Amino acid sequence: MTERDGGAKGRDPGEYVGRVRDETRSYIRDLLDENEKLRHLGASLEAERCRLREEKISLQEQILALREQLDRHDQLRLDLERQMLIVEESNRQFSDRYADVEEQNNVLANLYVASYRLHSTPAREQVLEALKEIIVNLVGSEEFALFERGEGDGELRLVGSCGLDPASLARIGLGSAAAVRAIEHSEVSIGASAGGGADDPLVCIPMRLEDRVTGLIVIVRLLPHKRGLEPLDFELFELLASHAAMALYASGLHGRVETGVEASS
Amino acid sequence: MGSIRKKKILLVDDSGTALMMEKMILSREPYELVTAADGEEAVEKALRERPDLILLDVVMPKMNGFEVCARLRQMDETRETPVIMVTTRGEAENVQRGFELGCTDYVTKPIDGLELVTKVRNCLAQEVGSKS
Repeated sequence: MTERDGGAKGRDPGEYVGRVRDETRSYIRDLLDENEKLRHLGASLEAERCRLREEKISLQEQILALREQLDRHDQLRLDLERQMLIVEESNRQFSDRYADVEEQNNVLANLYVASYRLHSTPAREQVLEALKEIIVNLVGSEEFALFERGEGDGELRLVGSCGLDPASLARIGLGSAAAVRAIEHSEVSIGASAGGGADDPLVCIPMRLEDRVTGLIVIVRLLPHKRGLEPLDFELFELLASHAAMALYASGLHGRVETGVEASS
Repeated sequence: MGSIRKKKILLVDDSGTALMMEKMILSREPYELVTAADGEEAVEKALRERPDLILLDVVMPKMNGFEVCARLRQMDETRETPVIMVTTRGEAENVQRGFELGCTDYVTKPIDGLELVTKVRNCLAQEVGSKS
């Protein structure tokens, strides 16, 4: 018999089996505890997964809602941009209309002032002065001459001028195409070279009394800063053509009446 | 509550036609208009009426627009009053002279209604801005 055999033989087999059984039981208990922990962990992870899924769904819903909101806002923005374009267009149209109305007002104001000034006095000198003022202030010329037909010979005589020296007055183009056209056709006539000088005036305006030409307004040049004739100028020319002669005629009649009254008294 | 005082504008021109035209244009706006027919009357009315703005023609008898402008700038009562010169000559030196003498702006004859109204409004707005 060996020592080892003797040793094993020395142990109590029941005690050994009991110890192994206890250890096994302890191990199994630990395994069960661990299993229980894992089960809990699994359950909590499942709960967390569910929560996250719900959260994800909720977030997706929110994203969807936000996208819808964004779409609505985009639509609203587009609508507002469209409305703004309409308002801008409308604003532009109003602005253009305002400018047109202002321009029309300006034309009417000019015509009213010219007409009023021509007929506001029976004194011949004041009518001539008003005529000059109209050409300076409303037409915009400081180089012009006024001619009237003499009662006897019917020749055109100088009755007023502005900004023209005697040499220019002597050269003034009553024989120019514009002047001839104005007198013969009784219509406003524009010169060939847009104000070339006294012998080739810019514009000739006949002074009309019924179907007779009783005088001529010769505008040699416009003021330097005025670029050219505008529609308003032609309106003024037509007004001068028809009203200047009448104003001068009326002032002439008034003068004769005054002279007659003075002579008789 | 006191009513808002209308802005007063002194129109200076020896031409009745020009004065009438200016009045026609500006009377559509809420302004009180006062007129003077020559330079001396302009200075006298500027002191008496104390206008908010003066529309001043350049070519006038007795005292021309430049002289009037210079005189207005020498006096405490009218030193700051905006002056718009009305000139038939829009050349640079003419305009330059006006600005050197203290005018605020200028318009050329024949007067364009919209331009005049715009410049008058601007000058009066600047005046309000400088006082506030």
